[in-house]
Amino acid sequence: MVETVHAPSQGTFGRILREPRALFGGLFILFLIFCALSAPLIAPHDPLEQDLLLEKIPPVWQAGSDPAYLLGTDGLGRDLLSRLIHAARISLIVAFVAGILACLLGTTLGLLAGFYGRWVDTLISRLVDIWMSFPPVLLSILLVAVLGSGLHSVIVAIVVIDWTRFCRVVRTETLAQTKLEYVDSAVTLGMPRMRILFREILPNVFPVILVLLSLEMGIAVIVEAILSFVGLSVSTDTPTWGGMIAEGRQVIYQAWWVLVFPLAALFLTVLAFNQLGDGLRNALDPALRR
Amino acid sequence: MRRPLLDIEGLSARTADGQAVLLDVSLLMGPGEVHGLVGQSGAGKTSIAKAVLGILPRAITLNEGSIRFDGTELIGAPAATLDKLLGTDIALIPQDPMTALNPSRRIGAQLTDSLRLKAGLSKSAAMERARKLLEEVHLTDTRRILRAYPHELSGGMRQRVLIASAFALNPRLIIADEPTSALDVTVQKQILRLIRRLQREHETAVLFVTHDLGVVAQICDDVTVLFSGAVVEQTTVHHLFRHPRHVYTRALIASNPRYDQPGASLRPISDEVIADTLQSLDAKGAS
Repeated sequence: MVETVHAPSQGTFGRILREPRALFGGLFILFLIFCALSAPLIAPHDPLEQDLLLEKIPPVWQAGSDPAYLLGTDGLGRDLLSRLIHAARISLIVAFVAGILACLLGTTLGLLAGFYGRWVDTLISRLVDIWMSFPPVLLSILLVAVLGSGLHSVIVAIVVIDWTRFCRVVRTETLAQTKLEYVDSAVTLGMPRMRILFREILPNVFPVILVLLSLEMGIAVIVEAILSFVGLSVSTDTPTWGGMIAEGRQVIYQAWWVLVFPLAALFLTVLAFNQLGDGLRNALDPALRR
Repeated sequence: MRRPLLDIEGLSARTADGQAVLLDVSLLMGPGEVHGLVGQSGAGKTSIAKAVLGILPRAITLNEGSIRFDGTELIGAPAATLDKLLGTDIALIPQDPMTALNPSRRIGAQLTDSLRLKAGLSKSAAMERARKLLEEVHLTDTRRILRAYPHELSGGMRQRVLIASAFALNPRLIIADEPTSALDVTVQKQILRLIRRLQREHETAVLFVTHDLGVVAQICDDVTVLFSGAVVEQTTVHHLFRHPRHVYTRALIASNPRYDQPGASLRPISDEVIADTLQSLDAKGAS
């Protein structure tokens, strides 16, 4: 027999590392996680300490700056850099907790709809259709208004709105996988249905889920910022990027940096999540389609 | 004839929009026999195979007839009965080795599924058994293959793995759904010989679905010719090629490419023959 096993291709992890976008996104998010975890240690000032004598100090490279305040201070004299670092905590908590919960809910329903079909599919798919016809931002504001503001409500609102993203894609992908012969093979081995769904099909849907999760985390960061901006997220004594943007808006003509830095942090974070998602898609997809 | 192993009687199926897929199909197979199911695309060969395995697509429903395996009715049987028979007594060699293996699980894990699930072997015992099975289908380097993912193997190797998997628990009936159609010609021949050899050694009955009469001549004992979901002719292979009775069978045999007459043009089945066949089926249906 001349045939042999082909040399094993480089591992999944290796492929992700070779994907520049996944690498950039991943490293930036690791950096953010580091900032969030060690915020009290690395932040040069107390993010809440006000000093009205030091208000609206520009960043260090501008005239009239103070080297103690690298990115300047806001309208109440609070250190912008410290506030940015502390605000990363809320954004990341929301991104991971809300993202993962939405993923679990949507994926489970999507798997069931795609695999069992018939009335299960009809029921879940119609629910998704109805759900998606609500304007998401208004729905989230409404939800938080009803639940009361706070971190929990923000997370609940994001999960309740965004599970449909996972559900729809996972359903389609599961449907496609269910038609492949390996599922028939598993059925003809007399394997229990639940085992087929979770042990045979789920691993093949997993790359898609991972990509979606990464994109969803970026969306969660934005939604949290929107809710903070309109004052429906955590209380104002916890710094958030959305809240900082709202404050910056009021002093935009006197101190542009109060608005621009949190905006840039938000922008870069969402970009990083999206790039990670796209990079993962490229790194994981060929392995499936080969 | 001894007690039949597989007894299909008056099987009819249609799609959700009322189109007939199978029309009054009957078929008898004794233990250890190889029965060919031939016909062009859409003749219902694969539907019969899938009906036996209970994996017909949702859009197709069986509305009449019975499928008995060793006396046990399979249609409408409780799931527990089917799950007990499938894998142990009835196994499948699937059509497309590219999609029939799960791309994200190692060969070893997939091959040991039935051994652990059905035969109750321990993980290490199942692995050892799987290694022997791979040797039985002439694969070398078995340890590496067991650790490999499907995309690391060639089409022929994958089909061998699937054949090993089908014979794993020494079933009494194997449904081979065009097991060689997705492979190139040289590999096809090896795979056919392999199935034939294992079938003889294990005295397994094989329901062999194919559109290739050459394959039928090589491997089958009996043959059923299908057209448009209905049985056109049912006989032994010997008879089929010597004395084909139905015009459609004759046309089908004539349409086979002849390697001994290079340059001869292919003879497609003419519209006339198809019209005649449909007419004869109608007449049968009316009687």
